[in-house]
Amino acid sequence: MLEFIKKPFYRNLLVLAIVLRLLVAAFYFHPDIKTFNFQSSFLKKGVFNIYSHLVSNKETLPLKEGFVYFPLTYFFLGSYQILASPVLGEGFDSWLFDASQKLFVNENIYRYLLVLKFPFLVLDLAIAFLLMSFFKEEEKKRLAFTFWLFNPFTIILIYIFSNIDIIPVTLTVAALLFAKKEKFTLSSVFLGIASLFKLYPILFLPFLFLRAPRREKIAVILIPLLIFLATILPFWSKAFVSSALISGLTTRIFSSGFNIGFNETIIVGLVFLSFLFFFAWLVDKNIKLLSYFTVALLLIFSFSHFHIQWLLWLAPFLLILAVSQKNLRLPVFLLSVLALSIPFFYQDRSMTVSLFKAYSLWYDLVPTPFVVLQKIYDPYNFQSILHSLFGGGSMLLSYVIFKNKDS
Amino acid sequence: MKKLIFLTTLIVLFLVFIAPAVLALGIKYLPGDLQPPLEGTRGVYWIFEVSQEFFSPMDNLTALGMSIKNPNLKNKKDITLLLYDENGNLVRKSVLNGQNIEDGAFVRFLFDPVKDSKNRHFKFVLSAPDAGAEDLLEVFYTQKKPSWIGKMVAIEGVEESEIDGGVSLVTLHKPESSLFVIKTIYRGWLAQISTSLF
Repeated sequence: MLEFIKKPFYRNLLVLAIVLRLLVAAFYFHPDIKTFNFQSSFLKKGVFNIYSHLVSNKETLPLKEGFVYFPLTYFFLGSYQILASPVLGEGFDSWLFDASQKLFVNENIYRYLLVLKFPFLVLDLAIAFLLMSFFKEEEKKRLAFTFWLFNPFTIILIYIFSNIDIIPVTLTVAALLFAKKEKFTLSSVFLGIASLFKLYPILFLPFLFLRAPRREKIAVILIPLLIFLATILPFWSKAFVSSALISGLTTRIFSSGFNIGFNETIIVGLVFLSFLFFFAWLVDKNIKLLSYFTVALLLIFSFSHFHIQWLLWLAPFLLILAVSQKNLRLPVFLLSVLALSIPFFYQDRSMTVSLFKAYSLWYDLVPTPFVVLQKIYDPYNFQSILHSLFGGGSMLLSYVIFKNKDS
Repeated sequence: MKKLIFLTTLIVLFLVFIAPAVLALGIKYLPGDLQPPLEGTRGVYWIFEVSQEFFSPMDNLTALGMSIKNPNLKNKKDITLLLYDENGNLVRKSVLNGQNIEDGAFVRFLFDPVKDSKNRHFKFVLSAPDAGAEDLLEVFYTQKKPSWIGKMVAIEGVEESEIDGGVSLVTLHKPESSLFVIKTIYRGWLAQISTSLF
């Protein structure tokens, strides 16, 4: 890697990429960054089980939300806070505990945002290097590096929306890279660890199982599941189940469907995932994991009310496809614009105007795009139109990905 | 590739330096202060009203913002705010309907600007005579009121009694111009950068 940094092309790009990221990181505020850091701050006070701690102390805590992430997120963020405490300074904890609007006029807010988002920067750059490793040709390596560091989508998703999913995303990219190198057991270990931050990498396991050679099949399923179960077992409680395991966010993926009578619902996303699995098993004689990982996520996002942060799960996979297949670049770009614009019209201030509150609290008085649109058209209908366009495009893209996968 | 680098750099610079100015054009009124913490509620319905005294921190007072509970969104009746000046003259009136008030929402009672409002003493009375106990609206109050929020009074028919704390209130003021808003935001932002990062 040092050799690589010595090349002026990469060095200059890297410096510019870091500067752009620091600018966005310092000034944009999404409430999640404060919520999960407030919750993770209990690690330095010796709290092990954050799920039950938050539930049993709900009455006295300034932020009432449960911890919606999986256990490693807590330990990762909590440990980082301990390491970064000399830079964060003494007032940091009282800032975390401040649930009033005064937190935005804190004189250290930009420093806090920069320091708290610093791990995102490290992982973001790590993904750029990992993506280069997918290619042999120098030209494609350059493209992968540049596409990742200089696309506005991931900068917005990671630094504006304080996206903690960057951790499992980095691990799933590493898992895919190991699978490409035919190290399937190692790949499954990375998926197992990734699922300890967020549950979605578990979705990739069936495809890894089908792709792995016979002698590794048992290992690629058992190892990640054992890692997952052994880690969550100490936290198993009503609080863990309701906050993280079956939280609204986790189950949202499988909430859209149509009723077939007698209280039974066909879950659209799951139908397509099941189809994909059986297709890989019974029809596909040459399973390419990249195609399955990408299409699985495209199908989920096409049929669920996704959170904007989830789009990051898909970004590295789409980028590899865009580098390898020139004809996919424009469709991928257009679908990314569509996908990013859907949450823009949610009735949620933190998707738009509230992101500017670290500049000034006055932005709290600006109407959201939802409210502005409401004056001329039904915003829910508009969201539906955008989502349907995205769904249609995603399905065709999925077809093209499969059609071209052997080339 | 060069185009992509240029375009992304431009988008990021726009987001950081220009977008706040563009968005500031949507700011139609400025808050006089931060909203004090929400610590309890007081019901407004039938003959039960709430009055609150305050000093306007700025000129062009054009709205009063406060947080209101509308449990289960039951209330679909009018809630009226009457604004009185220091001499007890009714100067403005604003009416909202409960169906537009989400439970716990920050709502704004808008009225024509009171031009020379800076440092003047006002009182408002909140009433919802058509609402009953089953569909009451509740206004949030605070015990940590700043100095510009004065006496809060509970009104029950003709009886009045002073109560502790004050309505968790924000005064909203019409800005001189959009340029003034943008200049003020950027000045505050630069000042905060210098204290936060250097």
